[in-house]
Amino acid sequence: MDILQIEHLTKTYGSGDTAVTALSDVSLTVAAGEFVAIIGSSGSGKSTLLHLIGGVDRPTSGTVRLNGEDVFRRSDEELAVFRRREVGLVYQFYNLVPVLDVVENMCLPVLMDGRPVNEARLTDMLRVLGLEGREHHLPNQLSGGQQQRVAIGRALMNAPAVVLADEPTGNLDSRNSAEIMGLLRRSNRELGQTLIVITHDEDVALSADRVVALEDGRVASDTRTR
Amino acid sequence: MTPRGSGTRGARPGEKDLATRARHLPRNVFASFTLRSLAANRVRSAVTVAGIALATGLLMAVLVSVTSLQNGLANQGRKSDGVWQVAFPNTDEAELQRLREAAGDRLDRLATQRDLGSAAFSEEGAERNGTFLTVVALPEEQGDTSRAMGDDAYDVINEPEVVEGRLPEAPGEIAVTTSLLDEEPTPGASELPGVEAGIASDGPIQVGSRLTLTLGRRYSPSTSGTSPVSTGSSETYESVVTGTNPDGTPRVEPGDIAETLEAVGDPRTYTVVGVVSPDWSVPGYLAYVSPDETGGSTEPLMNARFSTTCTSRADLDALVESVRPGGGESGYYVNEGLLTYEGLGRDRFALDTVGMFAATLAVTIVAAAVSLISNSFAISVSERTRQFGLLSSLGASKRQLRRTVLLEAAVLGVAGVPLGMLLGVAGAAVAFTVTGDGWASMVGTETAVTLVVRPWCVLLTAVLACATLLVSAAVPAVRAGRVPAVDAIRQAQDVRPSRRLRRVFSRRRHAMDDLSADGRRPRGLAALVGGVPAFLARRTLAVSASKSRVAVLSLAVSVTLLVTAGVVGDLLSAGLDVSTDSMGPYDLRVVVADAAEEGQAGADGGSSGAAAAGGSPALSAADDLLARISGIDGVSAAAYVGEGTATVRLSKGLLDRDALADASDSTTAPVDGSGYATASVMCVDDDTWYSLADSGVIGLADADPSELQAVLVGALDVNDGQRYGVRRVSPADAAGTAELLVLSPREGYGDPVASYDHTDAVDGYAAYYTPTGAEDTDSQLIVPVEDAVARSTSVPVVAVADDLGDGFPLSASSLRVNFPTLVMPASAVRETPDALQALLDSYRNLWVEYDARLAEGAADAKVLGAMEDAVGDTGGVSLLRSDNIAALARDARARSFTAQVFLYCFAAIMTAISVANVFNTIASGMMLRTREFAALRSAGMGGRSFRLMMLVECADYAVRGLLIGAALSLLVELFLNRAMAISVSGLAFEVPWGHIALAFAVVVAALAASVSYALHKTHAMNLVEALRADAL
Repeated sequence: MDILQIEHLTKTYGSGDTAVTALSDVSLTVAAGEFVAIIGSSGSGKSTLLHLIGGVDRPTSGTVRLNGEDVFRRSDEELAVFRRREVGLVYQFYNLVPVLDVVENMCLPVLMDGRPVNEARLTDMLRVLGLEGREHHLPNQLSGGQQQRVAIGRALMNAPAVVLADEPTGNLDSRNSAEIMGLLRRSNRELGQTLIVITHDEDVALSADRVVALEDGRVASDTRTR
Repeated sequence: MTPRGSGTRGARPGEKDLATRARHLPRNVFASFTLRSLAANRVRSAVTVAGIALATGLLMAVLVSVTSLQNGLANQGRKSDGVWQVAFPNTDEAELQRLREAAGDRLDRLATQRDLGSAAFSEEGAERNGTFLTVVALPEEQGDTSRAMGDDAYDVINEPEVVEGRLPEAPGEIAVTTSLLDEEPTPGASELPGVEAGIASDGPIQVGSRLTLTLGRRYSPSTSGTSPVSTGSSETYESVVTGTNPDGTPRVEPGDIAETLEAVGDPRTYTVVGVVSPDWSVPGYLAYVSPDETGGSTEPLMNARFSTTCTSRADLDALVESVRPGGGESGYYVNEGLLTYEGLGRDRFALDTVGMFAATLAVTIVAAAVSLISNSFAISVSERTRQFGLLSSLGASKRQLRRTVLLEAAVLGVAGVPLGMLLGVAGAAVAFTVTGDGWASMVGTETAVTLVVRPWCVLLTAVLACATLLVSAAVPAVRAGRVPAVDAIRQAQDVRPSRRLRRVFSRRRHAMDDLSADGRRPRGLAALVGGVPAFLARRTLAVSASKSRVAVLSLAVSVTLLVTAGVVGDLLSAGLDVSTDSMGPYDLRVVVADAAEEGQAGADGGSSGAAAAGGSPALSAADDLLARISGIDGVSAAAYVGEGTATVRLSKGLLDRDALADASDSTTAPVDGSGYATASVMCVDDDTWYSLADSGVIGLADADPSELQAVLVGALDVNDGQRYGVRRVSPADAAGTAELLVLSPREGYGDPVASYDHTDAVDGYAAYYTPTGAEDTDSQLIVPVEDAVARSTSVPVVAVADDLGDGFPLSASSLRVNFPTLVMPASAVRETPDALQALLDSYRNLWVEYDARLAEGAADAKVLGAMEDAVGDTGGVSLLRSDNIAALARDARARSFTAQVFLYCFAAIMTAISVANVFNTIASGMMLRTREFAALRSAGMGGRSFRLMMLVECADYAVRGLLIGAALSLLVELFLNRAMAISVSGLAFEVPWGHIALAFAVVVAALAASVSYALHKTHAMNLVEALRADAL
């Protein structure tokens, strides 16, 4: 079953002579539970694609459907609800809220939604993410790898339809990178979490179900690895 | 373009350029970083420059205002005293020559004044005029100084002000002071042993009289021997030389007059050509003759006064000491007041009130400026933490980083300081122009206070402003040097949990401890009330406590300044109302008394009341004079009140004795409601009596002014520093009679006084008779008061009131000074001989005041002059006093306006500085959180929640700032109120809601501007860019 359908997605920044087309007529579908790696050189449009899927940015034209629903027919306010319920975003630079501790950061999307936090899920995730004993630390008291694990926890906490990660290991050493990718893969395998990861790392790309290569804002190749 | 030169260049092209560039590279890098960072944060830089400019401008304005004011005061002093700095009494040409030589070009101006000697009054004349009349020549400016007569705006020594006639111009002419006018000197012994009076005239002294004076030189004993007394004291020295001390000096002990008059010259007759104002700065009486006058004492003295161009007191002192060593009282004296204004005061650090006030303001301004500017630099540094860390990781030294911040300060200062100085001078100029009348009224109407910008003011402002900048930049600069490179690389954000927050976290063990019991929201009150947005807002405030404190403090300062300025403004107007209210509702006033009593009323109580049996011209002519005053062009309404005192006996029930005792312990009260008292008795014209009926004080049935009746003012103003207000001392519905008493005189005794309390001496109320001429009370004759009463008149008291309405010429507060005060219709009093006699009896100090209201557009001074002329044209009365109430009120308004203009300007600018501080703190704080906001939005926070979060944060600032500010200003108000209550009655402490509301509006506006600017900037950044936010 296709959970994500992208059709003729185009994104142009600026206008007139200075206009830059970041994405040009990209169409793509992702099945539920699929682990997709997106690769491409710098400026190929990877991050733009991810931000459009995550409802962080709006496209110039084209549609993105998640669970059959058109993402961009929503108002800004509805889009905020979409971001906290339907997607989980992980960035290279973590982007945690500096004044909240680990648990508060992780629970933020749930709390903003006004739903109760599932205690079993929270403790389970803290254990899996190796953040036990760090529950009440602020981000600046954590290492980079720990911060990224909190970011992953935040992305997974709401059991979103799709987790979008933008070079999640780009800022980490190899040991931490392996751990982070391990966690993401585990959520994919054990929980059937749909996963779209942008990466420069060949190993990461090879561990995915499918590798989509972008070039100048277009899909250059779409290879299934297994 | 020699071949060699071009060859050298050609050989290694660009090498020198490269070397130069390499040498300049580091500095250029830091400088360009600084400039770029300033440009990138254009708005914050502009706000900081504006803050620096405002603070500098305010400093400049305060300094310029103070120097202008001091210059105004100095000019006033120069005008009234002359420009002399040092006076040499008893000098001679030889000494002045030494002075000229020692001073050289520094001797600015020099004037001499000869003292021809003193003549003694007879013992009888001395009682009124003092022992001596001293004759001095008019001052003569010497033309041989560096700037002699160059500046003729002011004299070295002021000539006396001519009241009538002219100043003497030739020998044989003399001018006397107004105090000698109409005096007729008598012959006989003077107060000095063995010296006859030396003053004689051909009748009462007038312009044209001939005055014969026998002048001698006064000598007074002192421990160093006898010395001549120059222009000065009329005091008879209460000391006498009783012998010789062991060391040979004369022993001086308290006793009779020890002065002597020696070197007495021949008598000389002068023609009085003018009358001048007395010079109150010199005790005793002076008469002036022309500089060419000869004669007088055989030992004439010369006094000299001079001004110099000395720039320091030490210089001046050294100069004077070199010419006249010893100093001291007899040596020389200085014009300390003028020297202080000229910056040559004895104690350089002794500040007068104005200086003290200015210093307080300057310190406040500098403190506010340091807070604003250092805060702004702190923000700039923390924003660039990453940049500094990066530079330091690339090898920038701490010194280089510190310099970067100091360079930033220099750039901002170069823009802000000169701008501020210009603004300050311009602002002060505008303020002085607008408030010219007020200053003139405060400093003296003859001198306009004009703006003076002295070089030292400019210099001091510049130095203070630069020092402020340096101090403000120093701490952030040091911090910039300390940014660890690793922080920059780790990209750690400047968020450190406060100790309180760390404690809170340390108590939380389990993961779910962060959440409420049902796990639906974060823990805490904020989340319970306002959900996640409120929770986030509170958390942010808790984490950045120090930053929020700066904003809250700045807001509180703004609130305090605004509310206090408003309150002080209100108090000023309240004080103004009270001070002008106390003058009564009319515009002009002349006070007259019977001509025969003029000048001696009350002073020689020896003559008996019977002498006035024919009535008082002041009172009998009152209706005629009132008609004449009413007829003056420019008078729209007029009234009179005759005021005198009389012994009265109040019937029982007219007085609440306990209330009176409570209200005043100085007012002696009848022991019960029926005792005797000295009452203030007022007689009013018919229209004023009718006005009492109009304002409901008396019933219409009592409105007939030909009926003898009285209104009793039954209240006192109470003000003992703690309580103030009106205290009723007679029951409102009291009725009864007031008996006006004529006490019988006794041969050899003065006017009798009735007692107010029972006396054991006569077992009841007593009348006291003091023997004529006796000072002590031991020889008093005490008789029961009933035996002393010759006649009495019973006056029905038809009303008791504590206010006589707006139609009454005297203000309510001036009526409530004494108890009892009786008001009666003059027509009826005149028709009742006994009542009139009682009023004229005992003290015989009856006077009548005429009050007039000005017609629209009439010139007050001119109308007052016409009123004075009307008094002059009326026989039997003379003018005691005239008050231009309209002018006084106008002056008071101008002063109050001046004070308010400066007050509000100061408050407004300080508020602007505080608001700039708030803006910088909050706007920068928010812009630093761009990435955090982006993270929140990407994690699913909607616009509504985001706005709620911002609102809660701002509300927190606003509420805290407002509460602290309001509390502070209430404290200040309470203090001011207490201080004012001592001098102003009827002030109530009120919460200044209006001013607080205004301050609240300013706070909300400042916050709204800061937040909307910051949000505009953060939203202008694309969410996608904000999430990356790895830009330096």
